[in-house]
Parts: sequence; C-alpha cells; structure tokens
Amino acid sequence: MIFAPYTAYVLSCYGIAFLLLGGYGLHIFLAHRNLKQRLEQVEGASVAASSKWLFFKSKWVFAVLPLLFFAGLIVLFASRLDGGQNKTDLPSALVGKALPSMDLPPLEGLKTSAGVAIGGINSASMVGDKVSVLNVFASWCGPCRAEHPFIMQLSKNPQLRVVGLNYKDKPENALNFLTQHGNPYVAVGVDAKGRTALDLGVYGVPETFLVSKEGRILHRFTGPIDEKRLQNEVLPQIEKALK
Amino acid sequence: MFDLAKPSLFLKVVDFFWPLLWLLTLGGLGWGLYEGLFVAPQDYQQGEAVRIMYLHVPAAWLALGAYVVLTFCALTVLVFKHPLADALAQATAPVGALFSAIVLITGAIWGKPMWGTWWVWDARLTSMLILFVMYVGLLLLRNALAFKPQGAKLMAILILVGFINIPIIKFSVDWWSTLHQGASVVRLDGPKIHPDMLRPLLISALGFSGLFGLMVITNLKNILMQRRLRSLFLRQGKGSGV
Repeated sequence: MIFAPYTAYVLSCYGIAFLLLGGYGLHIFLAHRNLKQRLEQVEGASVAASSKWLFFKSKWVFAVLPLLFFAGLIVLFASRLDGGQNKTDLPSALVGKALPSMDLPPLEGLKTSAGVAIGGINSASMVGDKVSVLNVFASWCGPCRAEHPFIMQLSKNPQLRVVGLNYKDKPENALNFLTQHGNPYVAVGVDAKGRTALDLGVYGVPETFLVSKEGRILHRFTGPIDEKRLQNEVLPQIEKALK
Repeated sequence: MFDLAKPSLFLKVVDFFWPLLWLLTLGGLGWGLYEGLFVAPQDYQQGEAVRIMYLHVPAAWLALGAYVVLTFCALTVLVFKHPLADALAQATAPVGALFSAIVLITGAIWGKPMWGTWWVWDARLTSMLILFVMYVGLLLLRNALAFKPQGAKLMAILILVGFINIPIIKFSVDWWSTLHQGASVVRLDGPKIHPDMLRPLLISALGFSGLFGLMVITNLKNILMQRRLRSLFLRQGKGSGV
C-alpha cells in the first residue's frame, strides 16, 4: 500500500490550501503589476522604482513556484510512504569470513526424544561434513514463534545441521518454548549476555546464518523467515551452499 | 505617530520590512510545515490525519485575527475618518475570507475520516461559517460602494456588528458541548498539547502570518494605487479610469 491511512486526506488539504493561496497570491500580484504599469504610463517612470524584487517580476516564476513546491511535497510524501527499502536485505560484513570464535554452554535440561542431552555450540563443532544453519532465537520474541515452523522444516533436511543460538533468554523459558513447539536444533548454545551475538553482528532476533562446511559465513537472513522468503531466498542459498 | 499613517511614509516603512516579511513567510512555512509533516509524531488516535492541524489551526487563528484587524480599522474609520484605515479594511477582508474558507475546507476533510461526516451544525463550525459569510458580505458591500463616500462608513458599521461573532467563535467550545475539541493552545492554564506538536504548529503559524501580511500589504498597495490612478484621471478630466 502506497498511502498510509489518512495521507490522502492530508495531501488534499494541503493541495487545496496551496492552490487557493497560490491562486489568490498570483491574482493580487498580477493586479499589482498591472496597476504599476498604468501608473507609470500616467505619471512617468518614477513610481515603480521602489521594488527591487526583479526575480518575482516575471509572472511565470510566481505561477510556477507554488506548483513546484506542491509537486515536491508529493514526491517527498510518496518516497517516504512507499516503504521501498527492504529492511530484510542487509548483507553481513562477515560474509565469506570465518565464524567468530564462540563457546556457548548447552541449554540445561534440553534432551532429544531418545533422552540424550543436547550439547552447546563451539567453533570446532561448526566445522564438519554438513552445511550449518545457525538460527538466533529467543522465547520472548514473537517473530521467532512465527518463524519456528520453517526452521522445523529446514531441520528435516539430512544434509543440514540446524543449530540454535538462544539470545538473552531465561533458560526455563527457552526450554518451555522448545518443548511446546518442538526442537529443530541438534545443538543449542545459550548466549545469556548476548556477547556472541554481538561478535556475529546480530542486531535483532530472529536472524539466521548459513555456515559452510569449513565454518565460513555464506549468507545472513535478517528478520523472520516466512513461506515466501523460504522459497525465494533461503532454499536457493542452501542449494548453492550444498553444491 | 499619526505621521506613520500617511500613505507615502507608510509605504516606505513597508518596503523596508518587505524582505524580512518574505523571509518570515518562506522560513516559517518551510520549517514549520517540514517539521509538521515529516518530523512531528503521529497522533495516537488520529494517526497521520493530525498533520492537517498545522494548516487548519494557523488558518483559523488568522481568520479570527483578520477580523480583529478589521475591527480596529472600523473604529479608526468612524472616529478619525482616516482613509488608510478604510483601505486596510478593504485589503484585509478578502484575505480573511480566504483563510476562513481554508479553515472550513480543511476542517471538513479532517472531519470525514475522524468524525465520519464532512459537516455538523456544531456551535464552533456554525460560528466559523457565519464568519466566512460575514467576510463575503463585507466584500460585497464594499465593492458595491467602491468609490462612494458612504462606502467606508457603512462597511465600518457592518464590521462592528459582526465583531460579536469573534468571542462566540473563541468560546463556543466552552459555552456549548461541541463535537469540535476544546481549546488546547490558548488556555488560562497553559497549552495542553505536546511540545513536539506545539513547536511546528507555532512555527507554521508564524509562516502563515507572514503570508497573511504579504497578501494584505500587496492588497493595500493595490488599493492605494487604484485611488491614485482615479484621482489623477479625475484631475485630468478623463473620467474615473478605473
């Protein structure tokens, strides 16, 4: 949607006001010029010498100025309300570089369905024979809940290793979140103070990093992944990484 | 002080302040409307529609202010019979009419999304409509008697009759329960509007005042020139010429 609610009303108010004021201004200005010329004809040239505003003596300038101003206003409005910039398309400065070194403890009490405790994350564990998907999540983050089913979907791919980075969360809440909605992660690192996320350049949850077999960052997806982004961005990038 | 009221000296003073008036207008409108449209926050209930305020409210102040100017002119015409006061009244009335038309139009456009109607016969709206009609009536009267000697006096009397409407407009929101919101800037206990919205409002009000001044003074110059032309033609015996 190009126009936010009510912007059309605001625009028409300012438009009408500028047309009225500009039109009346033009009218009295032209009357002013006309009278001056007639006085000059009758009295000689002395009368008109007082005004120095040569720029505004051309009637076209005065007619066009309000219109230009109004046109500029419309352009500003449109550019600001269009929302053209896509905030989810923010390349990471770390793309192509090795994952920053990290050593995160596991989430206490998190177990696989077979009852085996799930470990934490360290730099060495991110290097292996699989491409890793590092998902930064928190139980307090609404978009993470929305994104969760798609992370579950990714975790079913046997060629991928999906790991979670639990960002500034209470362990019991994180545990609740994963028990309730299902656990897509083969490893979960707890980043209680957010230091590792800082090293990664995370600036909001959720965020997802695609990590190569050698432990290099291939791509970053900021914001929640939905069906459309999964098909258009995430899966093509994963395919590229797996080649 | 009455020397200042001589048209020739008055025009010299005006020419001196003319660039400053342009500066006030362009600066005030540019800065105030930029802040009002792009910087000031949305209202929690009205959303973007609150931005109409930065046009509607200054226009309303000026529509009322113009009538106060008219009233002073009318008193001066009746007491001192000064010709410049009559010219100033003639110059101010159309600008007052223009600004009250803007108030009514922007108010209606704001009312549609906010109240669900373009117009209600509420005390504030009705008294504002009466003000607009007063301006139109004054203009018609003055133009009908443009160069008649009794024109100035009749207009002055009608202006004083219509002045009763000004306090009614201002206090209509206190005296009756109106759909229009109450006073929020000019109150005995200080403004009840957030500074982030008050500042752009006052700046754009300054800008509109500058525009008002430019228009009134241009009108005034036109009227003085018209009179001069007419007297020159009369002296040369070529008819009125206007």
